[in-house]
Amino acid sequence: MGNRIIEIEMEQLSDEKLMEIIGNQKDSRGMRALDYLYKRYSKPMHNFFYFTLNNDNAKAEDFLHDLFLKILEKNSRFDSAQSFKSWVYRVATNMCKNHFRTYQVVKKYNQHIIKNTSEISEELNSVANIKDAINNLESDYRSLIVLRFKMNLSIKEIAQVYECPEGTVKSRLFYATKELSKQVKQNEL
Amino acid sequence: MKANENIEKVYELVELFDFEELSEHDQFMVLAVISEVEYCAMRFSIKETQLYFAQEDLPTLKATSFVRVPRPNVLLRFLKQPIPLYKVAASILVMVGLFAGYEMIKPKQNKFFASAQNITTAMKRDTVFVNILDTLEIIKERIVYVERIECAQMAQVKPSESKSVLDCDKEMCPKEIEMLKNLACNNKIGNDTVLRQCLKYLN
Repeated sequence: MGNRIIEIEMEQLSDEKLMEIIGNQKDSRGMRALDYLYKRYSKPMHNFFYFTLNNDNAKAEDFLHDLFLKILEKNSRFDSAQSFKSWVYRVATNMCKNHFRTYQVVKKYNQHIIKNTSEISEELNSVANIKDAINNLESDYRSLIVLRFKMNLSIKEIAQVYECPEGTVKSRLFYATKELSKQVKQNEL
Repeated sequence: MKANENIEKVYELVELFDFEELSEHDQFMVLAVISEVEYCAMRFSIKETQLYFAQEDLPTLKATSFVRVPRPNVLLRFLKQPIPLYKVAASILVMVGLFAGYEMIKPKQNKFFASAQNITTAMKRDTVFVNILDTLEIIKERIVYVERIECAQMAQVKPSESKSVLDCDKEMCPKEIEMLKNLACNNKIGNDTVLRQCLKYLN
């Protein structure tokens, strides 16, 4: 009965409060709080990683595990005054950025191979076109597109993630969309 | 700054409206930044992106709760790596070679070997020489640097009976002075520079 009460209480707590519990008690209660955060954010974060990391499900799961490991281990870096949602998206975008920086050469090599073998399939429907176009974008642009159109974050929330003014987010989205339209046109040709 | 503001405004419009749906004022504002073709291409891309994300099958997440996977200890893994024997032998050879080379290059210190016998006998007695004008007065008892040779062998001058008897235990006897002179001639004196100087006076 006591456990049931604790569970109900934890379900009603905000993300920031749960982070506080994780920070104060790195024991069973802290792990329970982390479980609740995992239930709330595992799916959206997994989708974010999936669409940002070239639709690689295995990699997305690895990144998801690493993300929650960071939440557990680097809990002290979270400022309870800020929004947990913005903070976790910021950590996730930085993880993707670091990943792309490391494997930039491998990515270019893979794209070269894909372009050579694309002669086999002549018909590309518009969905496949847009998928390739998104995957061909730079990491920063790609993350932005996914945050805006897949995760449906508002301009204000994206500004909190990137810690920049809303105007900067809009201009970055403008250039990202412009680059995306160029990629779509290239794929059609 | 105004150019940036226009870009932000254009983006707000392209997300929501087609070019034909824009007011005249907005159309002029858009055309100041990009062409109509570019605006339409961007609008098309946004629509296609939204459609793609809506239709795309979502990936399945296997783990329903967070399970902490322990990371392997990198240091332990490194230490457990088998080291080839030839690498160990080569590194030992290199170290031995370096050590031997260093020993060869190291400058050898010149050791001064004092006569062991001289040092031993010198330690038996303390000697203090006092140089008074042109006479030499030996204060302490005896000077022994080498084995005492029998006075009978070295004696060349026999003391006369009229002369006072010297206490050879406390004073230098003529025999001993003669012995010292002979030792100095034969270069058998030890490293006592003071003694050498004194013997010059005796000579």
